[in-house]
Amino acid sequence: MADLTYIDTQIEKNGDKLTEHILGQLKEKLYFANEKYNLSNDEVVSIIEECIKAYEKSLVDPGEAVGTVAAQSLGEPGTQMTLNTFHYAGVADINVTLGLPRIIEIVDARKDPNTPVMRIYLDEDIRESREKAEEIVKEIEGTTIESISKSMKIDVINMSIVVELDTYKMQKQGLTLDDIKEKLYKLKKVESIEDEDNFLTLKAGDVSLMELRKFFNRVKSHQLKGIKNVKRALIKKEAEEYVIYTEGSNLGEAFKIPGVDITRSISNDINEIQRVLGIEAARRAIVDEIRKTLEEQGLDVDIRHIMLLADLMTMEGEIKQIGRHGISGEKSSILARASFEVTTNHLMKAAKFGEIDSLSGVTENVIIGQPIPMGTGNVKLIMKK
Amino acid sequence: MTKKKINILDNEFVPEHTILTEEESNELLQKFNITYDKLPLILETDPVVKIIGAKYGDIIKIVRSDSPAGKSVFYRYVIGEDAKQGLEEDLVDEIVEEEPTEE
Repeated sequence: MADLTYIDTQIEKNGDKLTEHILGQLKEKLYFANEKYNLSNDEVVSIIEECIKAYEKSLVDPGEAVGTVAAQSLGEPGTQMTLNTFHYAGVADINVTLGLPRIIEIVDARKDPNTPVMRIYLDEDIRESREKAEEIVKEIEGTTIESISKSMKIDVINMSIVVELDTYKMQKQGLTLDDIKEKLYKLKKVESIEDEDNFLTLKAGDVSLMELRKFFNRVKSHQLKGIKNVKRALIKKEAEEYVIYTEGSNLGEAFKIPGVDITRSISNDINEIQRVLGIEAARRAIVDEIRKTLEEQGLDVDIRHIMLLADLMTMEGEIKQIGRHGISGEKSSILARASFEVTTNHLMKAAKFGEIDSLSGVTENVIIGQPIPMGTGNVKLIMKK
Repeated sequence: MTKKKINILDNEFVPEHTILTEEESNELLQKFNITYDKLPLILETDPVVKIIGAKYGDIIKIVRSDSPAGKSVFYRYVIGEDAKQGLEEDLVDEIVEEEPTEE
């Protein structure tokens, strides 16, 4: 059996040929294999050599057209993905956009995704308590007037709005009549609020019928509790802890709630992540979301292609879409942009301003039939005099 | 209720960001044989940039840990919101009016 120090020295010798992470794993596995299979010194050396060979083989060659390969590697599984958006992903009842529509949403850097969802983890000391989880749900789940009323009417004769409150629902949300009145007074144009039994009568002063109708809608959706944008919150038990999933996302506000673990809680709204956690977190979220979407569809794409896409989208400090309002629209080559979308616009504009195309990219060289500046075309031959 | 202390740098999704000294910045540019305008960018208004106090012109070193090969290093150059708009304006100025040639 090889000496542990021998393994250590051999690994040190090759320290510069592999990454730290891999060396760590290699060492662990060599120790394990050493115990189990009783390796000889030579065997240890050849294992390390094989590992180095495998690593070097997996590296990308300089000049490789990684962009094209990544595009194809993501496009091909795209043709195998479902087009229907609905699936009950994980938590019962909460719909999440999946499959191709989700990928399109991510790559188009949509500012308002179809199904924003937050995954909220709780602090260590409370994550195993269902009651604490429910407390936090009460704080984040949005409660509107509509949700705690039995009925709501516009009283045209008295130009007022009559709300019949549901005391059971009020109690469940921990709201008293005074709480509700207090919140309602914050509404613009509210002149008076009277209550009798469980009926609230709101007057908005001298207004037209149309204005009264608008006022009615505002009262209906006026938020009494919870954080903005969060419509529903559900608790799910995962391993030994309780996790909260929300329909609707407001990461900034969610973080402020005591008990919420800000180290792990996250959202699937990429733009929100950029605003709250920065561009690097957004990049990681893009990778994660695309990877998860592909995985859910049963497709396996090397993460490096996804990483390249995410890096490209976040190259300039903010999330840019791949389409013509983002990356593709900012290429310096006129031919490249013209061949992508809105052909005539680009050609006309270029002609008007006398723009010059330096033909240094891939697309334009393919158009004119020249070798592309990648791979083989990356190198020029010169004659030796 | 006491106000909760939130440090977004603690979130798993946010990697380690450090500001390079002028010396380190120059070394970096030399190592890759580039000028600062070739680097990827990060905005001055980025939440992390604001916390670590980086300013327009700084280079930030980011250590990510999500690569299959372990840790990977990335660099970003800090620009301001106006710097971007400034760039676009420069391009418009470059459209020079040509004098009509003599008949």
